[in-house]
Amino acid sequence: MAKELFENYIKAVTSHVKFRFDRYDIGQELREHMEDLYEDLLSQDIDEEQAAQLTVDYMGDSEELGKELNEAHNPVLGYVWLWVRRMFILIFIAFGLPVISVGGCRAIGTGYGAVDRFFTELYEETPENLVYTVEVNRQVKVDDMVVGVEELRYYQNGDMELKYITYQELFSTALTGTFDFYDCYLTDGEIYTSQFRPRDTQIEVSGIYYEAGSITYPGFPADAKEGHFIYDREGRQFDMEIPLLQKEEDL
Amino acid sequence: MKRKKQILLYLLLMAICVGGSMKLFDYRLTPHQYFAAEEKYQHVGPSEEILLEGEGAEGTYFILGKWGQNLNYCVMERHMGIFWGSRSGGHYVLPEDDRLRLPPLWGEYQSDMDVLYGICQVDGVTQVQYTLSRLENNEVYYEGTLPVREDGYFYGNHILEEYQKNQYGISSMIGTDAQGNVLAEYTW
Repeated sequence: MAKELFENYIKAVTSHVKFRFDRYDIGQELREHMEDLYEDLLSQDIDEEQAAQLTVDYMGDSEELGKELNEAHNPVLGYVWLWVRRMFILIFIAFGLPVISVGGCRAIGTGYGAVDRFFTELYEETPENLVYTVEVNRQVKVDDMVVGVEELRYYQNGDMELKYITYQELFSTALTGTFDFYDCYLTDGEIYTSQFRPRDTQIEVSGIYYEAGSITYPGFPADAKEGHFIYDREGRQFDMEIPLLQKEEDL
Repeated sequence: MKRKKQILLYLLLMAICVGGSMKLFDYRLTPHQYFAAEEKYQHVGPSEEILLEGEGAEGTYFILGKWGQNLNYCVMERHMGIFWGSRSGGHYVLPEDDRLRLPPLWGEYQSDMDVLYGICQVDGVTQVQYTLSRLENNEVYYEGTLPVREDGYFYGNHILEEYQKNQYGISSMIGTDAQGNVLAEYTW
């Protein structure tokens, strides 16, 4: 009897709520509230039929309550919310999941490489044939690409090893990629100019936006006073002048 | 109020998903945006002039741009129905260094897009007569002419109205002046 009365009341109230997707939740809330009230009344020794009627009376006019609830549950906002949510689910499946999976894997790969490089350098023993090291830590920009030279290492066999990093700026509008060091060359400013393709390029961290590694230029003069790391192509150019004076201290 | 916040949050997340996808997979909204991004990535251009652009087969699109005396030809295709993205092998740059090494009359026919472009570095040439042949047996398939611009470039599309990869190529070209005198010649 009480249940039927409550359900009729709830139906009457929710019929005024135009955003029908909220009707179930509103109904549930009203039902719980009415059942609590009903239980309270029963505990005060009121008989079931009277308690049910009193509960409905306490709840107030169904039309008035329904209209108030309709205002609170704005149908326009409700439908906008519903469609935006549905669209979000579709977009998340189509775009979000591939971004999370592919991007995540690449980020993990790059992160692992960077950490590995950090610790490798930290515990690296000085090679026996190393003549001198020059800390450079200079960066230049080519379009949206930052090209950095971290260090130069000169070896007894005449190899000049150039440690580099390269990354794209955060809000770069270019396609993703790393810098092509084959377009650069190293010179001592006098006699030596490296070949177009250096002998050895070792990529230590390989990511889509970030790369770090080293390039070895063979036959660099031992007595060179400075090195020039040069790029000159299609109107873009830089000439990174690197004094090699530190080698005297190291020698 | 709670719903308004949720709507804003959903919109923000959607923008992040789409933006992230565009960034990660190199998608752009228009062919021109993709072309500009590609030039920046190649560290060439930006093109001062779009010489030719158009659609190819299967939803592909090409743009032939020019900066200085250099060319950039880029082919892209639709991705996910709304974006423009990369197409394998759809790229050709003719930088100045390479141009200087080219023969005086040079051209390239992109069989999959039905586009022909080239450059004539001989003064006075106003027209180029070209022959397209089947690559498999060198059989002459089509003969045509294209006007040569003052800067030496010539280009055209919708020549054969066929879009097949590596099917046809330029077998010979003749550059003539306004009177029809042959000033440059090239045979593959």
